[in-house]
Parts: sequence; structure tokens; C-alpha cells
Amino acid sequence: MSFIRGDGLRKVYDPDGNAVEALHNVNFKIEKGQFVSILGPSGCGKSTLLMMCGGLEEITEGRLEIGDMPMTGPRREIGVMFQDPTLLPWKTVLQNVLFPARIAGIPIDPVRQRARALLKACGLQNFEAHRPHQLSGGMRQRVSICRALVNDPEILLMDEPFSALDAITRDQMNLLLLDLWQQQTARTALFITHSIREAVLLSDRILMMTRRPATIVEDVAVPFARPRHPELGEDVEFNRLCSRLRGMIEHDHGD
Amino acid sequence: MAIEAIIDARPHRAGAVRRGIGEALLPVGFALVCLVAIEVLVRAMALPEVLLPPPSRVLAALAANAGVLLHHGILTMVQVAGALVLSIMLGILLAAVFSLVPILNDMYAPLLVILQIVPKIALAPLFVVWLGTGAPSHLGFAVFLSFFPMLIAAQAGFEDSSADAVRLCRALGASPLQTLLHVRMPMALPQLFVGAKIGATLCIIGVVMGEFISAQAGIGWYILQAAALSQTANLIAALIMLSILGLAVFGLVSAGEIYVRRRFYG
Repeated sequence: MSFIRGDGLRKVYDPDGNAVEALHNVNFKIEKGQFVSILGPSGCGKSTLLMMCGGLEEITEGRLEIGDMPMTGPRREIGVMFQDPTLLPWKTVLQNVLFPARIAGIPIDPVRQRARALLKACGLQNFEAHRPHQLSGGMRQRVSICRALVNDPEILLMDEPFSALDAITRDQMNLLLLDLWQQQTARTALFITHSIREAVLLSDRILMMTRRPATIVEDVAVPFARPRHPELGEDVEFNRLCSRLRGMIEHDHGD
Repeated sequence: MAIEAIIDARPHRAGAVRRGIGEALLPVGFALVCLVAIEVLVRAMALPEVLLPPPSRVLAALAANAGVLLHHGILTMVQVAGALVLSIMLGILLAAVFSLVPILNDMYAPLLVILQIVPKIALAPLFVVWLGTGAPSHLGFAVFLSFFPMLIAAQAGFEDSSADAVRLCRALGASPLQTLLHVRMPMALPQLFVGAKIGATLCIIGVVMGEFISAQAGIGWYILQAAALSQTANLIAALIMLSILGLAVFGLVSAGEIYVRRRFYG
């Protein structure tokens, strides 16, 4: 039985009578413990699909089950990371990381230990008392990772979390995420990106999406063994897979 | 390095102070010139003191009655501060209720706007009928006069909250009340201070109005007494005291605003 399962998912936006179909007949399955990326051109509806999985977007048609329960709204066992770090400016770094626990109304003290450990893993141990405006963009996104993981979620959803960062910071963030993942800080991950290399480095599987109305056209397995290391980027097989994926996207653009 | 920084900072700070003095000098200088002109004109035309006392007489009255004026002024300002606090609480409470229960907003918001169109001064005697002649009626009238801008500011602030932060709350499964308390309210603080500044001036008007209608003390009462006794110099001295104390209340609100901005954005 698949952990996350979408059957015939359809999404129609109808803001002013002009219906726009954002998703069309999307079917996919994700097993527990997998890191899956959704790769596709900008504006193809990838984010809509992810937000459906987070319970933040209504489903027009079809069926979406997570852990054998149909998705009806946000759930506490799902952590979400947005494109924007969305830190609260009046809270310190530590308070921001603890925010989900505060909302969940669970005792803060045990969670504080975990929050500190996460911040340390992200190299932010000396910034606990700083406020977001004192941090760089990459540091803010690292705080946002810690926040998404603080309640120990079963599923981590990430919506192009590094797309606003510069190339070097982005590479660093990918390695950090790879590290956190391989330490089993979260169990199942769904990651949206339009960077092919990012997807190949991080994922066990890559779902390819087409342009609007978007649907999943390919399901590509990424065969590299874990733990993976940054040197994987120079591997011949790695680069061959990247160009194969690029070919698929360009073929799709040609239509 | 550290010494360079100090040397670097000194002329900069001195420059800022000089600029500040320069900015203050212009209006103060203009006011002084006007006062001197009035003094000369009033004396030259030999105007009766009841009509327009020369500034020097007003100054003398201010000095002679400083203790009494301060006593009445503080009495008034305590009521102003009280009314402002009540008005801020009422405005935020109403905005919170309207934000959590939209049907109440649809029910009452149009009626509140209609209430704002009625000339509120005309309703001041009603507050005396309801709340008696003392401080409660002044407070009541001042709150009635000043809560509307607070309500509007709070509503605008709650609506303004960044969509990203509200979405984060939704993703975390936060209730509407949690979203209001944890995100919408702190994010509305800058707007709330705009409302509080307008509210502060309206509270001063409200309390002084109340004192005009019914009071045994306070700066409004003092002004009315001075007018009845044709002590125009005392009347103007009371106005000056009122302005100084009003400025202090306004300054307190502004200081709060600066503190909050620092805390938020460093």
C-alpha cells in the first residue's frame, strides 16, 4: 500500500468565470521513506499539486490519500517549506523554529532540545537569539528547514525552497538537505524544483510534469546508492541522467 | 580600527545634532517673530486685555498660575490616557470579533459607519444624562469619539497580514484565533500606532468637550471659568498648558511606536 497516492487529480481555478485547468488527471504513488522530486517547467502546476498534499489547496476532482486517509485539510504530521522562508520578524530564530510546537499546543521544553539540535545541524547554533532581519537569505531558509522539521513530521513537503537563493548558497543548501535527509530527520519527502541537478542529487524518484494543463508524464528512478556525496555531481552516470531528463523537458517544450 | 570608527562617528553625530537644531530653529524662530509682532501691535493699538492680551501678559499668567494649571492639566490628561487605553482596547476587540465572526461584521459595520456620520458633539449631553457629570461621562464621550479610527486601523492591520504568514498558520493547522493572536495582531502593530496617534488627539478633544459640558475641575473647566471671568490671559495660558500636555501624550504614543519598530526590524 502506497503512503501517498493520487488518483485522477484535477484542479480548476475559476476566479471570474474563466476556468483555468491547472492539473489534469494526475496519478502518482509515493512509498514511505522515499525522497521524490517533481520536476517541470515554471508555472506548470507543480506547486498546486504540492499544496494539495499539504491540505492547503482544494481538490476539484479525484482522490488523494496520505497514510490511508483521504486528504481534507492541513495535518500536523506534515511539515511544509515554502519558497519564501516566511519567518516572523518579531520572533528570534529559536522562537521561529518553535512556532509549530506553540501552535500545536504541545509542551515546549522537550521540543526546545530538538530545535537546538536541528539549528546546530544547520550551523546556526550561534544565531538562536538573532532576529530574521539579521540573517542572510540562505540562513533564513535554513531556519525554515528547522521549523518544518521541529515537530518530527512524517512527511516533508518543499515548494522550490532554494529558488530565490544564489547558485553557491543553493549548492550548499542542497548538501545540507542531503545530509539531514540521510540522517533520517524526516521520513518521506516531496520536493518541487525546476533544477534538474538538484532533483537528481537529492531524489530516489523524479516525477516529470508537462505544461498546463499539467500531468505527470514520466516516473524516473534515480539509481545512485546512499549515502550520496557531493562528488556524485562529477559522475558520468549522474550527468547522463541529467541530460536525459533535460531532453525530456525540451521535447515537451517543442510540442 | 575601533579608533577610526569613533573618529568616523563623531562628525557624523555632530552633523545630525546640528541638522536637528537647524530643523527646530526654523519654526521656533518664526513663532518668536510672530509673538514679538503681536506684542508690538497689541501695545501700539492699545487693545483691551480682555480682547487680546499681549504675549508677555500670557507668559506672566502662565508663570503665576503654573501650579494650578498643572493640577487641572494633569487631571485632564489622566482622563485622556484612560480614554485612549479604553479606546485602543475597544477598537482591537471589535476588530478581532469582526475578523473571527464575519457575519457580525456584515451586521454591524454599516451601522458603525452611519453612527460616524452623526455629528458626535451633539451627542455629548447624552453621555452626561447616562453617566453623570464626572469623569465617567468624559471618558465615555472621549472613547465614543476616538474608537472608530482605532477600529479601522486594527481591521486594516489584520487584513494586511502577509498572505505567506497566514498560509504558514494554515499549514500548521492553527485555528483562526491562534492566527489572529500569533500573526495578525503583531503584524497589525504599525497600523495600530497610526490609529492610536489619531485616537490620542480625538481623546483630548473628547475629554475637554466633556469638561466644558459638566465638570468641577480639569483644564476644560478652567478654560470655561477663565472665559466667564473675562481672564483672557489665563484662558490662553491654559491652552498653552493643554498643548504641552497633549504633546506629551502624543510623544508617548510615538515613543511606543519607535520601540516596537526597533524590536521588529532592528
